Amino acid sequence: MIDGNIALIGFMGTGKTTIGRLLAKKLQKEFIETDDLIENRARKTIPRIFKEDGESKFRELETEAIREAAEVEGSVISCGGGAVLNKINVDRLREKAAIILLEASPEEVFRRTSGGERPLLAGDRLKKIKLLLKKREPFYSDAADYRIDTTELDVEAVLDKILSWVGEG
Amino acid sequence: MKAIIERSEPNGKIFAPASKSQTHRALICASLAEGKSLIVSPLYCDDTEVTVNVLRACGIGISGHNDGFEIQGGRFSTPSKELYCWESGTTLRFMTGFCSLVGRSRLTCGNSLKRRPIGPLVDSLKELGVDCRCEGGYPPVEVGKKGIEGGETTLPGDVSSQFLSSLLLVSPFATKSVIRLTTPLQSKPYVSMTLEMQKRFGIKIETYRKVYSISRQNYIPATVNIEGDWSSASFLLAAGALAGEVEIKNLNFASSQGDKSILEVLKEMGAEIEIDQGSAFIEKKRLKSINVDVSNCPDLFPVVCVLSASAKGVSRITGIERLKIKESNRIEAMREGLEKMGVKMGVDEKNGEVSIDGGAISGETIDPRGDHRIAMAFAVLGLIAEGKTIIRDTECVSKSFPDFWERLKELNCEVVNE
Repeated sequence: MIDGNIALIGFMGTGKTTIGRLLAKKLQKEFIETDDLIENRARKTIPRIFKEDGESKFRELETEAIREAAEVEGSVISCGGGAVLNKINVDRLREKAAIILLEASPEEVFRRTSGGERPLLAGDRLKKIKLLLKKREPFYSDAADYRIDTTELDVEAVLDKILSWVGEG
Repeated sequence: MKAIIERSEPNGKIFAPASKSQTHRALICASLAEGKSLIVSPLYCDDTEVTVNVLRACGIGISGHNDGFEIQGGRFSTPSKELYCWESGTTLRFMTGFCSLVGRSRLTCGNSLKRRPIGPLVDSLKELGVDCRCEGGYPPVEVGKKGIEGGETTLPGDVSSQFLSSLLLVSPFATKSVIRLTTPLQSKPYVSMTLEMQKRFGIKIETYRKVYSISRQNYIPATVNIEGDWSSASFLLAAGALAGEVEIKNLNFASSQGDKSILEVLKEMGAEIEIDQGSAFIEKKRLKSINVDVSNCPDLFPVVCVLSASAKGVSRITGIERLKIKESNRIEAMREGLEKMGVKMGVDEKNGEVSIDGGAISGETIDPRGDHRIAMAFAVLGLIAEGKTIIRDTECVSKSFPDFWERLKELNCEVVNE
């Protein structure tokens, strides 16, 4: 049984929320989504924070949220897609959690994120996904303790991989 | 400005704005407490701005901090000019009591509020030894020498709960006061909210049936978080129930706000609602008619009317006696608007009830008569109307929910403001 926290990182649409929720249930840990903490603190939705206060304000709130989440003992933390761009966030997570990177191909991300509001993906979406993924890849790689390509896996398979990695499988 | 609304399917997640009633109460309590208090996530709207301005004119230090107000309370000074409360009934009523601690002052207000009585409050304050007067039972109110002695007074419970709240808020400054209600209390949740806020600032008030006993006490500075507003949320919930799929966040399901009962109303009408940690998920379903008493939640009347208008069968809404003395004659405003949009509303003045026969809704131009809740109610009905619904005078929503139109757009509703 893993003692500390588990943090899930990765691009939007890689399954952090879905997997995180199920994983928390399985391991009887608390599930925390940093995007939820941010919204609850600002009392507005993330698209609105981007629109009204700008991305830098959002990142500021995200750093606070990561700090708060990492402090909760025994939690599964789903981190916003851009959280690990900031080294402070990675360092905070690393102190308290095992960091798992969920990955998927750009085409799969495109498919999974069709519909719903994703503020960074307005416009020619597939092209933007590719660009953003490329930009973020080194940050994700640096931060990850363990990585899973979810492109061709279903939820159960991803869960199994994580559970066996943490010694629960 | 007007808003043009087309048939839409609202969807997505949205945060309810902060509670107006709680913001008012927190502002007053913090101003009565000697020292620094913080009010976190308050509602910024016309009415709360009026309260802030009037309190400042009475010597209270109020400044903005990170996410709210920082208040230096407990020191009052005589205002240099009259205290204008615009159309904020809460401000006028609460400040009428408050001014007994301030001394020489004159409270006045806009024309619509001037038609709403304040006599019973002024009479009660006089009985408690406050030097105040008004003419013919209506604003403006004048306060002379400062001070509240205490003693016993009676008050009708069925005119405005704000009279009682106003007395409760200042009574801790008197040696000992007893307030007896001569008629049953209407809108009781609002009084509970006052008592609850006072408690957070260290004030304890004994209540037994219709009697409130208050001993001499000091308000203690506090930090309070303002919760989401159930009245404002009721329009968002109605939008989901009538037309789409919506998640509303920032709700306190254990709140003392009476308008929380919108949840029961919706459930009884057959709406699909799920609640989870401060969120309500609601989705469109054909609603059925309802029999409901709104005397404890009069502000829900307009929204319950529009829900009934779309429901199958005839709904009956009772407990509406005091709605004529709101921002507009809300019964008449709803009847006129609903009939324009094709739904019949019967008014039985004698028994204090209305009946609404739900049916097909057609878009029309609605004049909300300057009343925020009427405007928001018809905007929501517009989401299921055939054709365009035009709401005039859209600015009136700033009284309680300044970004209402923006929030409808956030939920992907077809709304154009011009």
